Amino acid sequence: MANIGYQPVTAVWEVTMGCNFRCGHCGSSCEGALPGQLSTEEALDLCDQIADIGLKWITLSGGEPLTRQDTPELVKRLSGNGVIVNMITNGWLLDAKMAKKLKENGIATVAISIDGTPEIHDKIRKKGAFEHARQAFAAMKELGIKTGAVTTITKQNMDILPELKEELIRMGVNTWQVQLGLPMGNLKERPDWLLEPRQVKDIIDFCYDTAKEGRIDIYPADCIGYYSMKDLETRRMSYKSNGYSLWDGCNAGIRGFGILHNGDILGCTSIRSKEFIEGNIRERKLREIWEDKNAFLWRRQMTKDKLSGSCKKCIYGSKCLGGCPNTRLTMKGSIYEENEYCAYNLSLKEKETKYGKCDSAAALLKLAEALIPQGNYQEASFALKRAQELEPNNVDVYRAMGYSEFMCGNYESCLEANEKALNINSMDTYAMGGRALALYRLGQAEEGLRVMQEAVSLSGGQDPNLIQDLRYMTSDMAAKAAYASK
Amino acid sequence: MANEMVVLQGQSFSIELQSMLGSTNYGWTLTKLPQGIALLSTETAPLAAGVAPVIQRFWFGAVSATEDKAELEFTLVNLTDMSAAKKTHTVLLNAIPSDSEEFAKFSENTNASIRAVAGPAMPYGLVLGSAEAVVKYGYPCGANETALMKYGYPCGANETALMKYGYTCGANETALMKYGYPCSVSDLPLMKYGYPCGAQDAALNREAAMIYGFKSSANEAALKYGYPCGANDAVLMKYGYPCGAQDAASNREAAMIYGLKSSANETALMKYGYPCGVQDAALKYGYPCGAQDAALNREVAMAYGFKSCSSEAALKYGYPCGVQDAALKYGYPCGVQDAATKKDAAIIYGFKCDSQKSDC
Repeated sequence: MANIGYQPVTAVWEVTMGCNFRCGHCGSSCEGALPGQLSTEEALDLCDQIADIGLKWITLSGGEPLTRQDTPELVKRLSGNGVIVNMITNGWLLDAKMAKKLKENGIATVAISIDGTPEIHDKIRKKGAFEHARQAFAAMKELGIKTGAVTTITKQNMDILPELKEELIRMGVNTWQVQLGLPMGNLKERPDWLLEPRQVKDIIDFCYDTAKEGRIDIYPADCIGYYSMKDLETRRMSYKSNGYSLWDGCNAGIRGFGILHNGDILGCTSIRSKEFIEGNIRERKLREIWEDKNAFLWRRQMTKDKLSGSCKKCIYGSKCLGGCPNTRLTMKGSIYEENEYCAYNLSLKEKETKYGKCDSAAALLKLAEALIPQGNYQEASFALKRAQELEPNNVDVYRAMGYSEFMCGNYESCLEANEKALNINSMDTYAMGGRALALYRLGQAEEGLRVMQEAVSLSGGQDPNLIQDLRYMTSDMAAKAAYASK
Repeated sequence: MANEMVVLQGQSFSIELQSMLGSTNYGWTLTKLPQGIALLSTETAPLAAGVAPVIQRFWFGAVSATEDKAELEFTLVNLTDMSAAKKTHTVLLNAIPSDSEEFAKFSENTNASIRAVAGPAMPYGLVLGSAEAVVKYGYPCGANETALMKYGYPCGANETALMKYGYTCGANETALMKYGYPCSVSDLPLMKYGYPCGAQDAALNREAAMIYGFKSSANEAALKYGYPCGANDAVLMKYGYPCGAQDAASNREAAMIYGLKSSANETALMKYGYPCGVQDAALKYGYPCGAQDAALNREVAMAYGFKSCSSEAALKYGYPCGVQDAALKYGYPCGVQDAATKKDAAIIYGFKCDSQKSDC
């Protein structure tokens, strides 16, 4: 049965695993081309399928895509089909002649992986690599091809990002994507290169400062975030947008997918173990794989409650779904683990520590009551959690906690807090209403409705908010029933 | 009585007090403001149509951290007789330094909103579509993403980013301040032209709904400039003066114009928002107007905030006037003007500005 609820707009295609470099941080541990690589005929057919499914743009990568002789031909077929084609290369084979060929074949943007200033870049990648990249940038600039740089950040280059920025600007590079080095492939063998979680904030600060300068468009990759104003502002400036686009969960299987060298289709080329492979274009058409209702379930059926740690309780949880799943997979071993490299998560841990030291429940309650109207529900929850530890019989703490947890989308916690408030005062109609809504949100609609009716009755029909909540519940239930009957 | 609040530096907060301002003219006034706290705005919302208690909402900004338990003091007075304070209300405030990074505001319950003016501070639930405010600040509220014009700036999806009161427009979810008070998410209690959007939505009778402060069915003022005006009341406030008096006046010549009787300025009841009792030392332009009005002797009269004797000059129109030649009058040095005028004949703005020393 087809699943037509998702429309892909982008994909990453590792056209080959063959590479002329042996980078210390290569996530794919690329060397020679692997057996099973798609033939030119198969690859060209895939180019047509990609257009047929409605992709707007695609990024060709590898391995080193230019080690595959027919890559320019693939570019031509894709662009001829109306797909915007970008490429990520190490630049070694990208001389003036190749640049001209790519330009003629309709390439849109070529990004070269640059991991540091000349000395560091060559140390990580290959001697002479930086000079080759410099010449490649010059050749593309001459031809008017839009250029980009992609930097994988590790402890090897974290401290020289400002110098690297100047190098890139000097070379006239248009865009710069920065991404976290994650423990996969060769980098898995070099744990000392991995960044500490707290360094994500430094990266965001750097991106923000760079974006403000306006000398090069910088793009933090999807593994960097989430929801900090600096991060949002960076993306807004680089995308030349007039509004913020909040991270809405990983694109894998939702708006994008990955293609491996052998035609395997998966959500993301970085999450490539066998259980994440959804099919192979040698066996099924791309559209059939994409529209398979059983495909990409790890992402399409991801919900906040499947996450763990801070992510499970995070106010952004239902929208964010833990950020980049590959970060959690490689750092913590599972796509359902907490994302320790999230800027918001780091901030929460600081707050938890701060409030954990406070010993006045009254002050914490007052702080929470000030935070709630300002929309800082999660911080209020932390303050209230500590207040609860200090005064476990304070009904006001539980009432506020019920509300803040509700606004954080933590309905189990909301239910628990309101039930504790009701244990102290069984006639508390506010807590009763909160409990009713929590039950409703947890799928116990009938019970929620019953409790809300009881709350309205107990308040003598005088509380307009309870009445309106009751109205909401009954009309929502009716709407759902009408929808179900259709 | 006293309440305590904790607020974060850099953010705004409000204090709501109920009074009968608008009918009995008893209202809350801010009488003590600690350093580090700024008064951003005030607004008045009726609890019900007609003569009813009103909610006076004072919006503050925590400009800097305060000492623990800094005091905000409000005094309930009759605005026609400010010497008689009936009650005080003190809010003990602790504005704590902000050490938090800014993150985008978000809640999956973003539609949660205050539906009732007098509802709890922490309202559960969701707003039904039909109950949402129709217009907010002149553009459709509850539909921020489709707003075409906001605060006079175009905020279309394809427009270049503009700044709206110091923050980027189009960023509704992350807006921090709107008209000087927080409006981070669209579901916060909204104010529309000085009264709550919800009040309009709650109207049972659309004919009686308030549109831009006026009842749609009639041109009677429902709310004017933040003051409640009952349809037929003669005792409510309009433009800072009793509107009923003007409306009810059978003789237009005797009507109150801008707080003054057009025919008899000396019996002004309200002048520019300040009550001026007939013989009282009430305030007018920040100085006792009664003294001026009653003055038979110019030598002792108070003229626009300073005595004609320069040595006693303190404030003139908010400008310090310590020394004659350096003093400011109407925003410019009065000495300059005085020098250009024939000294012994010059009457500027209704008072002698020259030879002040010789007047003493």
